Order: sequence, then structure tokens, then C-alpha cells
Amino acid sequence: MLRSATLLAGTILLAASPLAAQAGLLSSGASVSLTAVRQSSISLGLVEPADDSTAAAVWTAWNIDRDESGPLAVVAFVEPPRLASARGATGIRPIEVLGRPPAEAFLLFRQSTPPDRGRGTRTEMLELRRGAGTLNLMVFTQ
Amino acid sequence: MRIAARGRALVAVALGLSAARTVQAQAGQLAPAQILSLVAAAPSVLGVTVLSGAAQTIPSLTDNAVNNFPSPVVVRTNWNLQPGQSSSVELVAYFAVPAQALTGGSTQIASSRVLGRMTTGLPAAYTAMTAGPVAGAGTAGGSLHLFSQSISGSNKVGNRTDNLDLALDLVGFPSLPAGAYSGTLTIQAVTQ
Repeated sequence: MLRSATLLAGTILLAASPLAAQAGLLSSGASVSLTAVRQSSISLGLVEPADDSTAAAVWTAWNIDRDESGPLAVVAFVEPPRLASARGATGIRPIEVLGRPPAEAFLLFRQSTPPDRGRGTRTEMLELRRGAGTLNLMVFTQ
Repeated sequence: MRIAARGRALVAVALGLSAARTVQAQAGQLAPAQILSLVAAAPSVLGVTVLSGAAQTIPSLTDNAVNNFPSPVVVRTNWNLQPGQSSSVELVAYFAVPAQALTGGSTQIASSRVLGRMTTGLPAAYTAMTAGPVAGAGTAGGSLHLFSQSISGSNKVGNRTDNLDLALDLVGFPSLPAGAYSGTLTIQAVTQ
């Protein structure tokens, strides 16, 4: 009699176990890898003087991946080069090593981008001597 | 010698009789029948497979805009269930840490900025992943209920394939520092 009761209990437990397994049965998780990239960007502008002033504001804004880029350099050059009347104007130094801009370019400023300065802006006043030709400005990372 | 041989013969006969009595005694006594109930239950099956789109990439994010991931995540859900014990299969997508759905450097993008859409499921339009878990699958504030599939006798064994479209909503979000942002979305099925 006791053995029969034990067998019956065992039978009930066996039948109940599938019920417990299916309630809230979870599958394994499938993973989806997400990657989104914000590309580095730099921009440059010149606010020309409104009157006879010779001072123009040069501004640059940057958002640089600090792991991939070094400091910024802003340069100016005049085309055609023989009309580079800006040469020798106040505060413009000859450039040392640039590469992409023409050899006649002048370094206006170099901006470091330390870890806390991956993004930023900078504005400098550029003194110009009036003359023929087109003033070009360029910003790039080094 | 002859006596010894006769003795062995007697012994052999005696053993034979003894064995015969035992057989006769067993044939007349039956033990009570023992009934064993055997229940063999095939294990239920519930699986999720990403057929394609398991690696999603936006190569160039635009600030202050909704950026779509370029291709859908194709999800296949398969099951083999007992209809009397499971009434539905639910599919859920979620991030383990909702506040850090995608991270890059010290910048964190919350799951509220990740949108999901399953036109064959519940979120027919892009919906932020901010819901709670479903039947134990998912995380609080970082989940999206993708579909609810009723189970009956006719489809106790079945599967379905759905497309999950994803997007990153940067509208009103501060301009992101340049760099890569990454995270992992988990898709899981659960029965109810």
C-alpha cells in the first residue's frame, strides 16, 4: 500500500514537471552588435571687416576623434602667390612643415586638441594688407 | 568404486528433485502486480536566431537627427510547445543596461535614444526601447516588446521570421564627440 502511494506520487511529479518547464520558458538570447560612428569634422570661416578696417575674424570649429588626430593648423595663402600682399603683415609667421597647402602658405595658428578639447572653437583676428589676389584659408589636422 | 558411482548418481537425483520442487513452488506463487506509469515528455523548444543583420553600423552619424541603421535585423523565432501549457510566444529586444545602450569614451547613449520597429509585430512604428520586461525577459526601462504569437494546437510547432528596423534618435541630443559608439542589443523569446 505504501509502495503504491509512492509510485502514485512519483507519477504525479513526473507529469507536473513539463508544466513547470513551459511556464515562462526562455530562449537563449541572440545578440545584435550596434556601432555608430560620429566622424571628425572641422570648419573654418572668415568674417570680413565691414568698413575700412584691416582686421578680419578667422574662426574655426572642430570635433575630432582624439584617438586618431593630432593638433589643428590654420593656414592662409594668397593666389596668385606673387600677389601675396598678406605676407609680412602682422602676426603671420612663415610655415615650417605643412604638406597639403601651397608652399607660400602662412601658419596662422596651431591648436592642440588634448583629451578634454576634442571639440571646440577658436577665433583670431587677422590683420590684412589690402592688395590684389584672393586670400585662402585652410584648416587641417596634423 | 561401484559404491562411489552409485552415491554420485543418488546425489544427482536428489538435486534434480530438489530443483523440481523449487520450480513447482514458484509456479504456484505470483507476486502482486506492480504498475509503473511512465511519462515521457519531449522537452519544449524555444529558439531565436538572427539570420542576418547581427552587426549593425551607422558609418556617419548626423547630430540632432534620427539616424537609421542601414539594414534590418532578420530574426527567426522557432518553437515546439504543448499548447495546453503555453498560450503564446513573446519576443523582446532589450539592453542589459538601459542607461548605457551605446557608449563611446565617457559618452553614454541611453536606450530611450534607440528606436525599434517591427512592421509584422507590435511596434509598427519606430518606438523607443524604454518598456519593461515581458514574462521575465528584458530589463526595466530598456526593453521593446516585438511580437506576441498565440499558440494553439495547429501551430504548437512553428516558426516565424520578422524584420527589426533600428534607428538612433539624436534629436535634441548634445552634439556627440567624434568617435565610435557601440553596444549590444539582446533579442529573446519567452512563453506565457
